Amino acid sequence: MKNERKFTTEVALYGLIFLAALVLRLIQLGQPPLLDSEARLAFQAWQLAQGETIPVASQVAYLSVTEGLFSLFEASNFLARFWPAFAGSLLIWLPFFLRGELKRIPALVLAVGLALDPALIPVSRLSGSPMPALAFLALAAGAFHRRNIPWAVFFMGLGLFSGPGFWLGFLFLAIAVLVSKMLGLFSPGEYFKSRMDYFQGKPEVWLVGITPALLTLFMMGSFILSNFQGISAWAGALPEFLLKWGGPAGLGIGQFLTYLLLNNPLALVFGILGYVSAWRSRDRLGQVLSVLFMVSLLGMLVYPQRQAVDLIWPVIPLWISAAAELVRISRLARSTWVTQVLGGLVVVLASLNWLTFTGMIFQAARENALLLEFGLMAASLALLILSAAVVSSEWGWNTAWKGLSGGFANALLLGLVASLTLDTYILDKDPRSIFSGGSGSGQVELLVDSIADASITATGRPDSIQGAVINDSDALRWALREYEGFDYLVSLPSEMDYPLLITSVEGDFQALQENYRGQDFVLSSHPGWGRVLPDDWISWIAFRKGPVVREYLILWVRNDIYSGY
Amino acid sequence: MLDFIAWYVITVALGWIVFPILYFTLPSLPGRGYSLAKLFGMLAWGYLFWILGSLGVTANNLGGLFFPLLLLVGAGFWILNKKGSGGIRQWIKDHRSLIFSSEILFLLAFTAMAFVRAYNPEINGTEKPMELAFINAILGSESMPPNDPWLSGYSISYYYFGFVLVAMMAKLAGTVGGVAFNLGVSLTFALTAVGSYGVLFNLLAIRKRGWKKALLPSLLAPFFTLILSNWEGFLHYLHSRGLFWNQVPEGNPSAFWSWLDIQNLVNRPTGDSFGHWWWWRASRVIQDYDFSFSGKEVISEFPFFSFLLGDLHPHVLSMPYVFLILGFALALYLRPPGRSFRWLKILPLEISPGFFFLLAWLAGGMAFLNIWNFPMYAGVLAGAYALRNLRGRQLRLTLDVFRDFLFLGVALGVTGGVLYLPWYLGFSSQAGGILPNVLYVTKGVQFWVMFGPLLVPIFAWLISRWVRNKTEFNFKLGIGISGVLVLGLLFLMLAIVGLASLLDVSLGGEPLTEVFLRQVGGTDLSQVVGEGLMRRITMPGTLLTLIALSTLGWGLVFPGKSGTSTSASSQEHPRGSSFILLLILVGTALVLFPEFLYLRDFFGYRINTIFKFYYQTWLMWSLAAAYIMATLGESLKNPLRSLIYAGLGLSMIMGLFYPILGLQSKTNNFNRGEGPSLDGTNLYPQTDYQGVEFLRSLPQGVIAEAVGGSYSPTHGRMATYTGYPTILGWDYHEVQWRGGWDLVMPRKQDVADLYCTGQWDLARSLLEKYDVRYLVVGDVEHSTYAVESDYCPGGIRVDKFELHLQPIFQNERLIIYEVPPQMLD
Repeated sequence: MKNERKFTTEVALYGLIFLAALVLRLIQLGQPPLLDSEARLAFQAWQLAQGETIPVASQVAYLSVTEGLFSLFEASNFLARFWPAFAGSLLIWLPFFLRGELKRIPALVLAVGLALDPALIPVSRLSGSPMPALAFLALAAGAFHRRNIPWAVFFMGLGLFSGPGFWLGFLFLAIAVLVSKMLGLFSPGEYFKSRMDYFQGKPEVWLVGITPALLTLFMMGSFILSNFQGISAWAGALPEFLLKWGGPAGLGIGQFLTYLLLNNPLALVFGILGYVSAWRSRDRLGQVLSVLFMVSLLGMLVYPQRQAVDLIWPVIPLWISAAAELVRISRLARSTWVTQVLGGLVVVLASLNWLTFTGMIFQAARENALLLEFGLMAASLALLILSAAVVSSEWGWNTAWKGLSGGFANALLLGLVASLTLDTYILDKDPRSIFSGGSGSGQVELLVDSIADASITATGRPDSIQGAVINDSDALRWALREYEGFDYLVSLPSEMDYPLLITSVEGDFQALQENYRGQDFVLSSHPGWGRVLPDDWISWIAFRKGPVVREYLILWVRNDIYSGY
Repeated sequence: MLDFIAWYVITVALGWIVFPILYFTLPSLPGRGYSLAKLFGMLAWGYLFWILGSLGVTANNLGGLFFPLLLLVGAGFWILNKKGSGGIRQWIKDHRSLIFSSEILFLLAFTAMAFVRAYNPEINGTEKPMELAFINAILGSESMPPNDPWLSGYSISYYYFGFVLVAMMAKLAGTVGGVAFNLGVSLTFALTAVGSYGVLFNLLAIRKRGWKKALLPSLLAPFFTLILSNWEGFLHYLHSRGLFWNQVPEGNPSAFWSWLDIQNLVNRPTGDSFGHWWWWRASRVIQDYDFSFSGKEVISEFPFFSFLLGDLHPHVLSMPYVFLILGFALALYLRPPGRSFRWLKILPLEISPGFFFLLAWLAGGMAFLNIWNFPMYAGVLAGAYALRNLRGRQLRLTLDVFRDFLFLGVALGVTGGVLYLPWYLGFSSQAGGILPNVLYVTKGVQFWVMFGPLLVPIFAWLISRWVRNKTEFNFKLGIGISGVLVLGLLFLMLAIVGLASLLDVSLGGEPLTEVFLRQVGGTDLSQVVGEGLMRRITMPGTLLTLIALSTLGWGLVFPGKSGTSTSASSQEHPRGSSFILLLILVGTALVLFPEFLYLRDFFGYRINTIFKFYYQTWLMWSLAAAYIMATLGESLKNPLRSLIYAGLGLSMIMGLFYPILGLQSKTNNFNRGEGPSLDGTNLYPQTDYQGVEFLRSLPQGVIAEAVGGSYSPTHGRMATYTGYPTILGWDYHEVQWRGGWDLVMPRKQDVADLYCTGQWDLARSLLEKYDVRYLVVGDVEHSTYAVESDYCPGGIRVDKFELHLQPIFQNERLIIYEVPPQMLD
């Protein structure tokens, strides 16, 4: 136990990986405006920071931390997304808890994978996402596994404070334990007993160990003694979760599987390979992980309200297996020039094929050219197989396999790094991105700037103009949070006393046009295709290009203000 | 149907969640509290939800509902972990038949009452709209205490805990208010059935015959409590057949029916004896007359009437928990003295602190459910405790008995009050002290019509015990205490009158003597007092009955030097019969009280006191009667047994006329044009209901709508069905709840001005004053504020609304305007 507390090189490496994960999650975090799904919670945190008495949602941890940040600093999009980003970064410490079973190198590989994963990063950058639930549940499980009960209690509390996502993950974990028990892979009773020996003969451990964790949770739940509703509000996550099973359908099953394949090929391929080897070699940890993966994958297919953000659930067991498998493959045979050449060939051919694939966008109209492209890709695959056969015949299958898989892993790693710019922080609020939740941010910031200009013209201050919003949305309420003079109405007031009005584009505005001038803005945008992928699926896969449908609103400014605007 | 299933599942689950707590808390009960578990679970869940909400820890949402549930689950696990689960598992295995019986009874009772409600679900008449308004207001309030739907800006000032329990179920199951109302009635019926069953089961199970033989006879408890009714139904049937009328010439009164003097039965029967609301009369069998012999209504409800009427009033909602507290009283009584502690380091109590806390919590909850119940059942608990402490000693009435009674009573009263303090802080009662009942005397025959079905078995039992074991009956003590009680109350009554007159005491600015005279319609106090004494002499029936009951009861419960633990029969358990005697005596005290005194309220006389006290007496005496019916025959020999049973049977048959005939009438022979439905929504005109549904889709805000009197089916309708607060709803009810007209009258005038003024500035200022968000103009407003109406001589002026406000909803009969906040700044 004492050795674990030393600041070793290993710990330093984890620290670096954590920093890298944090940077990737925080960079440009505040840039895109909040989506509706993000703004709901952020607005609530802002209201709490203003001292308003409102019912507290079940994501108590998010509200508590964000409300604190809003109180200390000015409310912003960055701070609104900080908590899930931070929680997502903390996830890289899971391998630290599991390094006893995984061994050091695979654990470090896993940490890097979790830091760079193209699903985990964008989900960490979404306010209201299930990332905190996943992270703290996983960390609680990890800490419990290491018999570190105070940390397990603490993380479990944070998990419970993270909304209905916690219960989804808990359900997957519970089912996986049950199935593992039925398959004879795992004995829960003995496992829990062995972990709980922490308390044997040490009743004072409760006081010393558990109390600080509970006190911290209490302080968080009570918003540092300013609002005690958080102590109970987390319980609302359970009925919320149960209600989701009867709610409207979310993402289609086909879409979900496609996104898993396209987004996480590295973890998917090597994770599954890892499961196969685990079953062949009867490696218990791998077998249990495969059960957890299958349970979470099937669970997501059955869960009616699945969203793309729920990809993170099957990704964790995939990555654990993939990390172990990658290291295992690397040790299959000695690293010689043969494996390196074969691996390099794989990378080159994969890159060429990718370029060929993306080049098909430009050849769409020319059938012969498309045939030629497919022929090239088939030829490169044939070349690869031939090369592998030659290596295998001369130096053995292990060498060939190491070369192939190493090269393939490197190619996928290149793709992963590339996707960091594609799907993660630059375009993740674009509706064409997988993780935007089916909608993207619009021109709300521009709208707010316009309102500020009008306010300065009319009143001399940027935030004191009065207005009325006829079509309400959480994103609008968040954006207009500083405007105390704004009313949210059901319909246009008959007496047009408001200097500013915000309406949807649908409706009869003849009465307005006499006294107001209007300007339309994009409120949000949505994918313009109904199937799994758009018609031009190659453009979407390669560059996330596709048709978009936009939702507009109109800002009406009264003529007397407009004259100076 | 789904709502029904959800409510059933939730209630059963609640019972199982808390059963471990009861199992280890009530070891003295053979049933270990199983039949009481659902009641305990509901109360515990409700209390935790309410107290945590009042303290700001929970909100009125699903999270706030689940958090207390999780706490209860945790408590259950903790107690199982601490005490071990082996015993309880074995007990469950061994007592499957009890569990099965209990569950079947609950399901059948729930289904049966839901079936009955489905054929007359309409929420109209009497105070049903008020009850629905409370339920919807609690559903819509964000936190505790809930908003008063009929007085915007205020929270409910009433004993609303029962409504909280119904609203909690509705919220968890996703049930709308109109259905929740009827499921609430059904659930209350079912919980009362299983609660009374449980208490009687334990009373019978402690006898030598064993618990399995107690399963079936325990069904007598729900029968006597919930089904058996007073004899008015039987009399009504005879009346409809022309009994004692056929012989009387047209235009002449019938001596018999005149002597009976029950409303409408004094008149010759018409052809429509079972027409319009004939069944209502069963709750009005007692007839008072003021000094000028004008009739004064007195309410004499009983449980079957309440469920037939279908009101979800506090006295109904609290019924199941009466049996919960009686179960705990029995557990206390059977529990051997063990741990003791000093309450607040002052009063020594021979009871464990944990159990005391539970008792105080239960007793305090009675106030929150139905405030009148609090002192009654604190008294029952204290009485059970005092009797328990005599265990193993001679059953003599000593100062120790009074001391024990007083100590526990005080401790329960104070602790129970503290546990519900947040409610007390916001509650203002209309009750204002105890006043003497100078004039009104309950006629003996009417008293027997009311309580006959219960008095017959009770007297049969008391007399048989006296006759069989004369040595066990302390006549001197019995008559002595009875005399002290009656004379004491009489003296108190006269003393209050005398002192008020001598000292010229005032009440609310008015001389007390004037208050007395006004309530009885008299002008001279000495004449009134004289008339009252004369009535007591000429109508002694009730008093004699109660003296007989009291004498027999006290004389049997404290047999004195001859009695310790001998029993009247080898089967009977002395402790069981002593507990029954306690119930009989408490019931007697409750009906004796209003013969001399009453609790002052807005009605100005004893109508409400009789209502509340008689109701609780019915509950206690019905349990006693059920026990007696189950055990009496064992100790009797033929032919006496046959004779007594014939009498009891006749009495019961007479008490069954009402439920059979009443159900047929109320449900129209289970024939409803639209088909059965649990949705009691009954808003007239129907077009207004479209407005209600529209408002429900909008954020909560204050509604402005027409104000009318209490019991109006249309006024306050928007607030009633949405749960959103209106400026003023039923005016007289608010007067009762707030203790006066000060708040009410100005609002009534303001709302009238709002609708009737032609000046927009005035209207706008009123909208701002009450922070109105939605203004309603429909048929109700047009008719209330028609030309030459009381508050609106010029008639309603809607033109100003049309000019300055935007309608957000409109159909052929209703317009709803939105009042933008900016307009009010």
